[in-house]
Amino acid sequence: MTAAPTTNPTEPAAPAPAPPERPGWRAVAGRQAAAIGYTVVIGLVLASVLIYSQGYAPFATIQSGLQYAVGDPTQVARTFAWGLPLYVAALGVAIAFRSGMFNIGAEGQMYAGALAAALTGAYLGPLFSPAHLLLCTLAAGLAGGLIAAGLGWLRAAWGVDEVLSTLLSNYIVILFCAYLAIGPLRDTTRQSGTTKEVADTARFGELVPRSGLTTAVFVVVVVAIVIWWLSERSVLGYRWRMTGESPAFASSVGIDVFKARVSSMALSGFVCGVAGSLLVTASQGRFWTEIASGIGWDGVLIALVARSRPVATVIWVSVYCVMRSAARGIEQASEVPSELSLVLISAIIIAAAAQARVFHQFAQLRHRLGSLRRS
Amino acid sequence: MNETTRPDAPLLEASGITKRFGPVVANEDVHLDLRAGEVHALVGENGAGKTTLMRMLFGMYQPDAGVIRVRGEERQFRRPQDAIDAQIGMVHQHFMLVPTFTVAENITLGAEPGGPGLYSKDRAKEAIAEPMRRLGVDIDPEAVTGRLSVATQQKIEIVKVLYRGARVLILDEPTAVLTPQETTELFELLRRLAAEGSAIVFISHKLGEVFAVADRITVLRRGRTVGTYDAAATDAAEVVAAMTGRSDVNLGRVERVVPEEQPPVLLVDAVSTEKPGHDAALDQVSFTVRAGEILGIAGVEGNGQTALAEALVGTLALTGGSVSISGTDVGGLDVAARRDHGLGYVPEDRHHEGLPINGTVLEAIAPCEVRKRTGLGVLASALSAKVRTTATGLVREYDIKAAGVDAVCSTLSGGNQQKIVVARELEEQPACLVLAQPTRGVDLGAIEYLYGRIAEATARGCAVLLVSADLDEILRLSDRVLVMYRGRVVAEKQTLDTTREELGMHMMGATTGGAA
Repeated sequence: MTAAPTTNPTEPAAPAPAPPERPGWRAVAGRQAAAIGYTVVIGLVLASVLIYSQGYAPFATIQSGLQYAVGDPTQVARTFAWGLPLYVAALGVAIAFRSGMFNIGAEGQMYAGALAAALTGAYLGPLFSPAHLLLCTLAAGLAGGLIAAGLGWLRAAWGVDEVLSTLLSNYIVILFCAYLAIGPLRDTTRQSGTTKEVADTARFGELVPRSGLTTAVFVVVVVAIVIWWLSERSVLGYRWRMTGESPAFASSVGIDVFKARVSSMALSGFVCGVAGSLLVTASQGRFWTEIASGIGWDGVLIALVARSRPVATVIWVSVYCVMRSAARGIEQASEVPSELSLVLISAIIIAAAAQARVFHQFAQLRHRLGSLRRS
Repeated sequence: MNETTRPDAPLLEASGITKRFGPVVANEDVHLDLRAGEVHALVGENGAGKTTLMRMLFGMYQPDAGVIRVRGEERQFRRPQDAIDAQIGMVHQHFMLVPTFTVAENITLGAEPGGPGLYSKDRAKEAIAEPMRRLGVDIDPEAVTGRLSVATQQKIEIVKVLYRGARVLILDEPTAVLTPQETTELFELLRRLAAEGSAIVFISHKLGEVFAVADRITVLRRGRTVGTYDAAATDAAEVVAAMTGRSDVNLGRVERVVPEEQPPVLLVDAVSTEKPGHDAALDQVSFTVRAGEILGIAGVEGNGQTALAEALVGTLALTGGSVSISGTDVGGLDVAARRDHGLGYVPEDRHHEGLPINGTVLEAIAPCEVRKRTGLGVLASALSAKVRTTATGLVREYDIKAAGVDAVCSTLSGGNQQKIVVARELEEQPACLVLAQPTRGVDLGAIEYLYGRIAEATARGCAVLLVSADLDEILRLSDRVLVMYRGRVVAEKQTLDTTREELGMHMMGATTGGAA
């Protein structure tokens, strides 16, 4: 009744499937490029439909929009000058995401940073300019960092959900800053809602004439490199990443999860505060009640879309800057109302957020087709 | 199989079954036939394709090729209900019971005797009497399921399957949650069901149990059927050889020289904890482990063994008592400081605690080096050339099958993942090593290898605490064994002077004077 074993037990069995290789940077870059290309195509199609429905020629209108965004060096400088604080804010949010902390209080931390920088710039000095700028930036970072660190501590020590607490902190911080700007710190020589203008030594010099692009661009480059190193290469970043990806692993090998959570939130808030300071020191020169105008929220969105990888974050911010600037150009050239541009940008962001999944499904489909062909 | 000698077709037959998941072939040309009246064991290492095959027989997956026949008639199961209609039932490893429902409610749930959704207490009680009688058990239909013992809940699962008319029962690792006595009792029930004409598939990797209950044994290896054996005409060595493809696997006690009168390394004195969510609270647990000794901790899962490992390593706070390693009191220190004092830890849940499952091999080996960085050192590179060299060396030394140190941990087999964890922990030459379920989900060849490395560590004086739900593991490896029950140590035995049965009695709460 017993069947003889169909194979000799000592015979080597079929080799196990080779584990997939770790993708090299080329493959990663290729995938990023594909993702961005997909988003751009979706954006162009949506924009064409919108523009056509308003009675304009899509191609010519989009071309003039792009002309406005990146048509000549001054326009390029203008496009990216607007984006400088966004680069910093998105990177700041990404740090917290990497350790599993959802810091969606970036907007509030930017307001706190902007106010701290504006006060340091206005009431201290004039000083030697680099020192004054350093002080403004540090004050802003400290303001944002303390807020975020406090909320991170609440999460790590008492389990207060940081999504909720950071979200609500936006209202507290923004409205408190608004109260100060309307009330005790109001610049009495101006209309309501602004603080005193900062000293000239607390402003970055213009790099490209009449573009608004200042030497703050160097600060942004340094911030980006430091954050990349910290989060992707350093011991600190390793602890953050392990805490975010496998908290149980982290605590069982002796990583202090509490410390990792609080420190990543503190740095995240610090960087968002610095982003806020750039609004003052690299552009507006004073604090006013709606100074960040949603840049912190844009930063949260982009950090999500870029899955909190620093390099991807920088690339997505650049794409976002061009899109936004082009939308403005289209608005001017075609009278497509600005509300529709906003709709368009939102749709593009949703498409971008969806694309990771979409590409994943395409890859799976191809895989299955491939295995069918082999069999 | 020589079918022509039996005029009656098998109750259930799977023939030439192939199933692929993307590039992975889970089953290839697999054969299995079940006859009325037999207990048929399906054995194989992890990843051999046992679960995939069973899921196809139960309609949860559809085969890419091959046929399933019920009493000689070809059938296609598109969903589990099709299999239930063909009188096939499955008892899952994790029970599918609503803890707040009564026994009768759980058994009839979804197939109420009065019609869908119409529940009548009396009719349900009547309807479940017959399947209870078939199995030969008598459970109070009014009892609340969650308050019953795990072994009773398992019987409810079986009654549930019988209630739905099953003649073929598939049991996926049913003994994992049972004591030896409960296992024996389960086997009697299974034999009884077989005797009245049912066919039972018993999935297991414990060979002792397989030979205790099965009439025939089908062995799978790497997705293929190696063969079907008559239990009476084969032995464990042949089955192990078929499972592993090797003929030299040692299943007996791990031989090593145990040094006499070594100084104690791990001193645990009257340790108590709060109740963690997943286990019992520790209550005045005391013991010592000497240098070079392996102390086994046995017990049915959920009696404080997990809490003990966590309290020792520092992820669960003590509410009383003290823990010291090599003379230093570490009870108040955090995990990193305890590790600095010579504690190594192989956690029971490899995927959550042992490894960063979506991280790389390098990231899994890095913690020891990274832990020592303080001050400005935290700004330096984490995965430095030095860490990479260490990791590459360990991958080679432990023969870890990975595409390299940059391979993602989730792509490795359970055995290779566990080798990474053990390699990392032994690399630091700990004075005391806590092993929690060190070979769960690890294939036999890797188990033998890991035991060898652990024996080596004890030879240089490492004190080992072995927490395991697998009595075979405890009996093979440990010198002394403590049995835990409801957070307390209820017995202490020399491994060579005890038996499975004796330990099993203590696992159900019997105490002895030998307890600490």
